[in-house]
Amino acid sequence: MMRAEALKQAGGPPRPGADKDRDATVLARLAALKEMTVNEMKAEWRRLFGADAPNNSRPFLEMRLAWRIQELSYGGPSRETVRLLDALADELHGKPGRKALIADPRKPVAGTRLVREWDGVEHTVTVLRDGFEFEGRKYKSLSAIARAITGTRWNGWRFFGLREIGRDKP
Amino acid sequence: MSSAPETIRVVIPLAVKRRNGRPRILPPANIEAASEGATPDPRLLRAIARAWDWRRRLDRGEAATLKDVAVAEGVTVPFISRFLRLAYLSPEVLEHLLIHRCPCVLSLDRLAAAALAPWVEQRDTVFDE
Repeated sequence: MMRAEALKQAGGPPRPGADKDRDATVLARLAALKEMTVNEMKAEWRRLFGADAPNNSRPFLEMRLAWRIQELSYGGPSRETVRLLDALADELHGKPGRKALIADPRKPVAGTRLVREWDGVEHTVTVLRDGFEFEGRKYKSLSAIARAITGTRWNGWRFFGLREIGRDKP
Repeated sequence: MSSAPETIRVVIPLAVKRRNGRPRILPPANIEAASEGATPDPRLLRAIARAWDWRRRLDRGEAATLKDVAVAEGVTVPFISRFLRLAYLSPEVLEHLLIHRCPCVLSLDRLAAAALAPWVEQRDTVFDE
């Protein structure tokens, strides 16, 4: 019994659903949050974050307090998850890491062949997971391939007729 | 009846399943497993990344209110408050979506709503199977 407890301690806090008592305590605290006034929430904030609440918005305080309560009981995201989230967020600001993590929604599934006729010759490009293959060479962009074919600068998506795919953003 | 029939009928059992909130036609699991590894929906990644970015800005104090974020992003406050929730999904769900790349069965809107549920309930709502 003692050993089981010790092992549990070593593995960090249990995941949600692993420990009934812990889940019940957390659910009770989340329910209590809903009953609080904004002032009580701000006091709770000071207790849990050790700082003043950033504003007086009830939904905002409630969501973040609920998260904090659960983080203290179950633990937060793994270091790996946080690193990935940071990298994804940085990518949005044009600070790409080694490699783009968010795929371009216009890009077709790997293995797709794109065929484009130019000057009476058919050119075939294969979509790879991290780029494109054309005449045995690997390219990072379709524009580079379009340039190799035509000798002039083209928008690669447009040259291969992919411009209108995946236009809708979230 | 001189010539043999020329048509061959190939039957592949396809299933309609929800992926990223949209119904998709999917081949059976053994064929799916043989194809290229699942890539996460770029829209989902982008939406979560945006939400995480807003959360970081609020946590660092670069933006004090949702209104600051909305102005900087050129969107409305309700948009921010709805999709900011994606950054407050349970760590378990975030890990499954981002690292293990489990397909999410909810639309972005419903995924954002699911973030408000207690962590114990989130995993079953977001993934089926």
